[in-house]
Amino acid sequence: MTSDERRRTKDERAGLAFFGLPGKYAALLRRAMGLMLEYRASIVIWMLTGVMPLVMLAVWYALAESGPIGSYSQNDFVSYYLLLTLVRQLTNVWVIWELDYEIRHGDLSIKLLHPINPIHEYIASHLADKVFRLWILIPLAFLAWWLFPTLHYDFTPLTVTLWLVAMVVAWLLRFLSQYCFGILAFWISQALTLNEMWFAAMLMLGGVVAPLDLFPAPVAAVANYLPFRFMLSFPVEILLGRLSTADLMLGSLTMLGWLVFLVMLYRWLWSKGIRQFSAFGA
Amino acid sequence: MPNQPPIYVEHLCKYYSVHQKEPGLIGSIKSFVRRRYTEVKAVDDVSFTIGAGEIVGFLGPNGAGKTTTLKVLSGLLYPTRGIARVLGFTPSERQPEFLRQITLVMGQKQQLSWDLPAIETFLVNAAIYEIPEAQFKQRLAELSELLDLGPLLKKQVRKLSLGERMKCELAAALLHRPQVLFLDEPTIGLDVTMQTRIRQFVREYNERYGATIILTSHYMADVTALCRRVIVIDHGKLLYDGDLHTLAEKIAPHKLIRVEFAQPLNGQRLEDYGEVISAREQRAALLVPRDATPEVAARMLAQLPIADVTIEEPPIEDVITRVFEQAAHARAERGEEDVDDE
Repeated sequence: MTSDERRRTKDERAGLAFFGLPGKYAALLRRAMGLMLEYRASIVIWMLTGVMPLVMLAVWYALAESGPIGSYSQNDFVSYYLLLTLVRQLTNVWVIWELDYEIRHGDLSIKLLHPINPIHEYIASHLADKVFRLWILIPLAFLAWWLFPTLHYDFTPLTVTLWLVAMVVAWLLRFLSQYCFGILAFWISQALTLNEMWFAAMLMLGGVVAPLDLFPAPVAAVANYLPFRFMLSFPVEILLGRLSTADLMLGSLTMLGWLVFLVMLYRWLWSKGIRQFSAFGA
Repeated sequence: MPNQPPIYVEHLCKYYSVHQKEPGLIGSIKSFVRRRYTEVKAVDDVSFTIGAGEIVGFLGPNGAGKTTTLKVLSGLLYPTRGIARVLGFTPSERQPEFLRQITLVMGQKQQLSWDLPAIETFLVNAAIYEIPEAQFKQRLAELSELLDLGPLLKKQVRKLSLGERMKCELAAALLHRPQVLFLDEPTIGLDVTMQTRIRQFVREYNERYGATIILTSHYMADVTALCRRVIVIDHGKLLYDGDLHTLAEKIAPHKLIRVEFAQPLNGQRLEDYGEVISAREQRAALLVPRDATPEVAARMLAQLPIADVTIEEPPIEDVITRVFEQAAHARAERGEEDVDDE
């Protein structure tokens, strides 16, 4: 049996082992928080770049001046887009840039020498970033609530719980899809470009350009089952109160289905990618 | 597996398929139509065994296959053919129990977080390698003492000098007290004082913990100071595996006699005594066959107006260069293409 034959390494078998890692996450998070403090000015600037929903709000608000568009009045648009901005800020992901860089510059080797999957460090740094963003976003949310008294949301124990779950899954979907594109950097040099296309699709079909139920019926029907909806739009839809219980359940199931799919895709790609990396190194 | 040697390599081969492209526009078009691949043999049928506690130096020019071998032994690359075993593990399986017992330090790559003090990365490594707190504190104290880290740990890594950073990198790489160390150019770019410091540290670490160490370096001083045994690799092939000084005696059966004259020579010819390497004003250096050295030296002292004399081994660099020249000669005779590989 030659060394080149299919001997599956530990990476190739697992690739995601969250359980049993609390101590390591504590340490990774602690360092990530330290780094975030160093970068706090940059984070504020990066947050400012995520304002497209507010731009779209201005557009739709103007368009809806003479009357509601579809089932959205001006007030509905404000409610929709302010919440979408919050969701977008809290689910943001940048791992592909780091992963692509580290793979193509060989820096990943250092991480591969440690007895821990590199994904955990990336997750920890994203979590630290969220903590910092919450510090800024929570006061801003209260400010918006005070500035726009006509904001209308459907807060019930069910919707709030579902919203929290959907937020976590939304972030996971965005993270895992970017990570999968990043893993492509083991083979191609244009992984970032592919991700840009994915991001554009997310803006279109994730509810940034327009709320999904304003799309023509056939388009909306397809969009409801695509992963992009669950990266941004679905959490907003939950709190907007426009979904029936049946719709909520169907949406939740579809959302979880996409999550399972992406986890499996990540594990498969990672095992292939590590194999490729170990063939050529860096 | 207590009876196995820590490092065991048998008929190890690592080949790459590299896409060849001719230069220029025509070359680009040609390679677009039909890609040509050549096989680069980065490591070609290398075998050796390293016992516990040995410090072995890997010598070879750039692209010889030293770093590739280290990467195979640390699990970053898997072999094309052959066997590599470290501490009984197959490195490319990258099992956590394996990774916890080894370390690979590459001079140009760093693991310390750039914008934070080194101690922050140490704490993360302590968690990743599951080092209990008490042990961590003790090891940190030992490493600080051996490497003189002191105030460096609390400074941001980007504010450290290259030498200080290298010391912190070494400490980070050794916190988990690995039994097997792969040091790839650990003193590259460092000043002389720091190089000596690192060498002393490596020797101390080896003596204290009995670690098995493979060291690659361009600086012969590293190898001479630390390694009794060297493995010479060139173009992927193992040229020599054994004692460093035996190698010198085999390849360069000469000694160097340096003399300083009290007064200018009066018609005497230096060439009568040996091969003149340099002759300037009042000084000269000659190469003399080893066995003849005492006799030649005695003759020179008797017949020439000598103020000072030293007898030296030829520089190890020259010895090694000669080894490579011989190997290149042998390759040329075999008609092998001299591919410039990396």
